[in-house]
Amino acid sequence: MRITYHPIFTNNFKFNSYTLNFLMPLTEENATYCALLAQVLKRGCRKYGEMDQIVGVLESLYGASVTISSDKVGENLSFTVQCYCMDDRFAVEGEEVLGPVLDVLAQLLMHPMTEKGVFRADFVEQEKINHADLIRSMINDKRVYSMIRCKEIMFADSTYRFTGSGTLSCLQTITPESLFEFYQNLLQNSSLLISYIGRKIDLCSYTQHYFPELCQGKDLPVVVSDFVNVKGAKCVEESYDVAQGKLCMGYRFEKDTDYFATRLFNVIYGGSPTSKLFSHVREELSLCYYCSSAIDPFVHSMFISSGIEFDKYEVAKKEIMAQLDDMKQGKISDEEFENGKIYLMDYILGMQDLHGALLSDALRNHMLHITEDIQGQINRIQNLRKEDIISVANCLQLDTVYFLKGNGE
Amino acid sequence: MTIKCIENQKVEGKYFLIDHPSGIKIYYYPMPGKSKSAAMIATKFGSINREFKKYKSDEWMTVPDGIAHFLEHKLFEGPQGNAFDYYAKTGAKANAYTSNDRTVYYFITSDHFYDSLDILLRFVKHPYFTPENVEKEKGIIGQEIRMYDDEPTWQGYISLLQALYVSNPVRIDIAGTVESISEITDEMLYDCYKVFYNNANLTLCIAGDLDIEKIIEICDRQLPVEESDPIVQRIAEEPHKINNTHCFKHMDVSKDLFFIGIKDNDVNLTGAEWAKHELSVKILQMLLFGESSSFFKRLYQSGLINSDFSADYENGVGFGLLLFAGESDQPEKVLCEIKKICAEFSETMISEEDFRRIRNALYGDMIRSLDNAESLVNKFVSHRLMGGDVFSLIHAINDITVNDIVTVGKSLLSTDQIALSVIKSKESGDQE
Repeated sequence: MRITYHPIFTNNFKFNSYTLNFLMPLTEENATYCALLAQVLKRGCRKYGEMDQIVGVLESLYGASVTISSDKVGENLSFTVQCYCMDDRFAVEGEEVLGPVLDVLAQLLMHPMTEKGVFRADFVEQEKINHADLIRSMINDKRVYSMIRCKEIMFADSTYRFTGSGTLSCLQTITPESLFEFYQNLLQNSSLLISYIGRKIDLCSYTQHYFPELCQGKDLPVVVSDFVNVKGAKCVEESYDVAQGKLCMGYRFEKDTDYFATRLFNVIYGGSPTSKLFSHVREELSLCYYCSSAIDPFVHSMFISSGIEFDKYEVAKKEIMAQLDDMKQGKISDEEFENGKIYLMDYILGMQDLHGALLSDALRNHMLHITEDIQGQINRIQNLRKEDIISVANCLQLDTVYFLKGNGE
Repeated sequence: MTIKCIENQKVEGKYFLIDHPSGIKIYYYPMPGKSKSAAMIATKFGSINREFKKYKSDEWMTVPDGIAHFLEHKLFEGPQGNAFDYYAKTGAKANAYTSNDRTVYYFITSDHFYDSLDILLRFVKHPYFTPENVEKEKGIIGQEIRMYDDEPTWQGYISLLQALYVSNPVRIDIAGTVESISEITDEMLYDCYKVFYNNANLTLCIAGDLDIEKIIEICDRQLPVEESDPIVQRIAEEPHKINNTHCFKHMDVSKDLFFIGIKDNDVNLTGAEWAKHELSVKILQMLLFGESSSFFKRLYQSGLINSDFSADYENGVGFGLLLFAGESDQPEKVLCEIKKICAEFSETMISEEDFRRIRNALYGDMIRSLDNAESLVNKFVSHRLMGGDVFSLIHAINDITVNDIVTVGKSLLSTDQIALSVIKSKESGDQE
């Protein structure tokens, strides 16, 4: 498999992080298997024992954290294995911290507890139950759930309709054998991005030392979907026992739309506290408690999420669309435009202080083939003109309106 | 004006305490090389402050529930527009929150720090309440309250507080109710403002790669000298007993959610004493209930809890509780297991080796929290409210011993100070 390294050497942090992103296409099977695999791998490894013993080792190592998770990235899936640890210079006895933490990470990933050559059946069975609970619990938070439903409806023909957790029906079919086979395949045939943030180290030799097995196999391409032409918007309403309604809307834009222009568009439209949605729909008209938009560049889509009174459905929807119409007609003041740029540039500069933001930026840039560093991204934003934003607005097509309302409405 | 520098070489940190002539204490923590900077201003005015004497008067007033939170919303407004409109020009991300014991306003920025600080102080020090803008806000806050009505975790938590506390107003929802906020007027807001937003009741914490002279210059400009008036208030005394042992609510959730609390009655500590207590409880909680404990392993393996389980120590002015939350088909059984640990607790349950391990973990957490301007100012404000500073816990961790943990365990882990709140799924029955 091809390994791409993304090191950021800096003395600016008091702790370091090391992240492996195994990338593969999002499918029902990949999502369900990866999510379950993450839980099963956490249960134990041969060298350090079961979960409680591993946590104990990490506690001794100044509360280092090791996380294994899977996340949806557009129509791709990232199986992420990651550690954070305090920098050696703060160790009370002057001991090494990073090396031993990487060892825990490597043991968990490469040498799990097995029986008869596959994962332990008791671990797999219990984590299947836990994961089924997790999938079912998505309904608990209606703000999140309504967006899941909106995407399911909008992307009925794409694997993007699946969440990163997969499905109950696929989960039921998994056995210790099939999971182990999937795991071995994942180690061999994914595209791998390794990111590191912290004091200068020889990243390749650290990786070869701790993960000697991660070497050969197929490389999987990243999926970026084609633009789908919308033939009339889909409108779906569903009832639940709730006090507040949730209105979600999905729009599509064209594939070759400039990435930086879509980001600036989003900040001005609904992605910041000074956006049109926030200042007009929430503040001026008091139509909702929250109303915001977000872009997913992998599927060329924008999603709007808001919490409204049931009887404000029509008027809220109308106002949300009216704000977009204004932008289509070029009604963007110089102030809104400049403030949007300042907001976005502030965000990009601020990423330098946050491991999480730097890591997700690295992953997104890697997958979308964005080559600009932080200064390059700032330059791109500075050079955007108002027309660029207006043209983003004009290529947006409403695809789906989803309304989660109360019972008896 | 005096400026004092307090340094901790071990963690490579220091801060300046500026005793500003306006009466506000300013704390500035330099973070050389960082891109982000943050400022946070806090008042000791939260949902628990309901009965007090008006500013320079002997007249008592009792305020409607939710007024501190309402005031927080309104302080973003000025005669020439909204604070967000001004922050928009600096790119700062600004926000505020209200809890039981405080209201906090802050911003984070990578550039234009000083202009943003000017906006923060200007808005906090210049209230603008009118009958019209107060009426309008009721709609927005009403929506916010309804949003929380649909949040199972918030509902479970607030019900737990109502079970644990008999009279402490921590049991009242921070945002109030649609009915209680309907009583709020602009005059009431001004009355509250005069009492609780007096400079003497405010703390300003700043962190980032900044120039102290410029910070002081802006504070000089925006913070006029104010006459202080000591706050006289009544906060109901809380008995050392709980209200209910059990409560439950039905909501649209897939599986029962449980919230178990052990009430901490040792809550009037400040400064070094508070820090030692806070740390002792945290170590105790991690030792007995953390992911490396035999308790966690046993319950996880038996399927009673899943990876959603959490154990934390929550506290603030006048209250504290050990909180356990998670999903389970048998919340009662989880409660029994926790009670069992409480009943069996003795010094033999804590070994020196385990203690050292947890102490290491907490030390690492503390170092990490000093690495980010946003989390740093937040910690700083919280610690100041308890009479400590940003290094209080780091000092405490050097001095703490196994005996301290045992002492705290013996007083805290009592089986008659424990309550269970359950958010039941539609499928589960009404019986406990």
